[in-house]
Amino acid sequence: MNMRIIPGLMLAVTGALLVLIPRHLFPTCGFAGLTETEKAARMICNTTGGITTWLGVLTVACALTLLFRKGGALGKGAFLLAGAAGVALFFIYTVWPGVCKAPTMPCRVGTLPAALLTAGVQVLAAAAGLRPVKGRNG
Amino acid sequence: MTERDVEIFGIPGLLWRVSFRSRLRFFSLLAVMAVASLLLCGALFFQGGVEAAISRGMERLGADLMVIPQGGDVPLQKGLLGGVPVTFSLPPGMEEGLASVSGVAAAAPQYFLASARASCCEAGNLLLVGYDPGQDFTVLPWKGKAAGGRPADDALLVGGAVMKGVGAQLRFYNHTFTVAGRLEKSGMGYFDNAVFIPLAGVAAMERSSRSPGAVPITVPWGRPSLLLVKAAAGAVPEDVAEGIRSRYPGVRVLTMPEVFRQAKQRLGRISGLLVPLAASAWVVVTAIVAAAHSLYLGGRKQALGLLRVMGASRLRIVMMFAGESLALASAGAAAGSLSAFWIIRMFAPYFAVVSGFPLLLNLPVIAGSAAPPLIALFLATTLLQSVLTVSLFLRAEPYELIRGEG
Repeated sequence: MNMRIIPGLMLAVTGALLVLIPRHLFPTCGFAGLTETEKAARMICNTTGGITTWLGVLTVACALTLLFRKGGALGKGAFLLAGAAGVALFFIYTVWPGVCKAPTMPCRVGTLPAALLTAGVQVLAAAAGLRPVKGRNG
Repeated sequence: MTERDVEIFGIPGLLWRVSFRSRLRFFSLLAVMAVASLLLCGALFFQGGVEAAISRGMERLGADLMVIPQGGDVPLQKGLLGGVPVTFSLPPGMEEGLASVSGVAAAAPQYFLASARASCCEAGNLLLVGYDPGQDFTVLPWKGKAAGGRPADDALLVGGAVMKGVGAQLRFYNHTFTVAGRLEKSGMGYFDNAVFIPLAGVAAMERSSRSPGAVPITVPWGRPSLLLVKAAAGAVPEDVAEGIRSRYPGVRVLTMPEVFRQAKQRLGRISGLLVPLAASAWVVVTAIVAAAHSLYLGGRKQALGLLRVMGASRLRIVMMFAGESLALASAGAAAGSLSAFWIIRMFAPYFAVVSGFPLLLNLPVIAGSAAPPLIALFLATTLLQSVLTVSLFLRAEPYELIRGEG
């Protein structure tokens, strides 16, 4: 069994989650019905959610690449890109653009922990995929 | 395994290298322990964290009784446990009349208000609590670092999770306040997520809200959201509650345990699942680990035989494989329990605000939970299984093992 399949599958799952989290699973404030629609677009968490969605799309693309090209430079590049997307999410949520500062806003209580948890798993999956494969044992 | 391995490392090193070369066993043992400890520790940390937050909340409220309007239970739970904005009001006249009820030593009014819906990122969705600094015994005792003693009328106190430092400014309803202090975190939404404003400040805010272009707010003066009551020394809180109910039949009077009863009942339903969950997890982990050990050692018979031929004693081999199993299982348990800790901590505000479960998770809570002994049980079982399995295989003679028999 090619052990790289598991990290690739994990990236597909994390990518899908990153697409769904900001709008559906743990929606940001503008999509959680907390504020008027016209104000939602100006909220920083909406920007952060949009970036998260696109990074999720990128991650899914990396996972699909791995499905057809498991090894080689392309496979390695896909893992690196997915890992970098995961690391970037930590920056995006904690530094800029960030999320709302009020402690009960939906983006702070839901979107932020969900996205960071998913990003953490993504980084670990990417690191596992980049590990050199030794000869089969056991 | 080569001659070079034996030359460089000797028997102990050879045992070490033989042990850690099975990727399947490595990941199966590590993964199954990690998943089991993640689920079990997550449930136990959650239970312990909710109990700790409720206990701390009861202590910090400092009151014996809470008087709320009829139908105020649901919004009270949301405001108290989640710290989300809710509004409800008692009938007029209770604030002045309560002091004359037998057994009442002090009654502190609090007005629950909501920050304006149009407010965005810093001041949005906040519970504003108007309190009387002259009568308060709930908020002021818990302010941490503060700029002074009693806050001025245009100063406010923020909950432990509000991201504003002392001296910062917050604006509500067109009125600017200065943060005079921050309450210590308690795990309870009321103390962590709310903003506490002296009543004079609330009145100033109400006046400012009437300016053109501002979002107006109307404060129901004389009709606080709740009254926190301290019973006189020697008075029984239930008797005082009865006295208040007979004087004011249209209100609910709750003792502190009753305030948190609903949350405790909901937690009780979850706690009831813990024993079956732990038992099921133990059975599954035991079965998987036994299968992994047998498969692994079944494929290692020749290696075991060679080790015996080269002079390794049965005891040495058992200790090495058992030690490896224990190390892998411990690493898995550590990874699982640490992950559970961080996940619970990250989602603690979500549990409080959305699900109404206050949560306080720290080292004393973890140490006092059933997680450490449960993990120890799992590790002991894994160790015992490993010892038994290796010992069974080593019953065969070395030549039988080398020939793949035994």
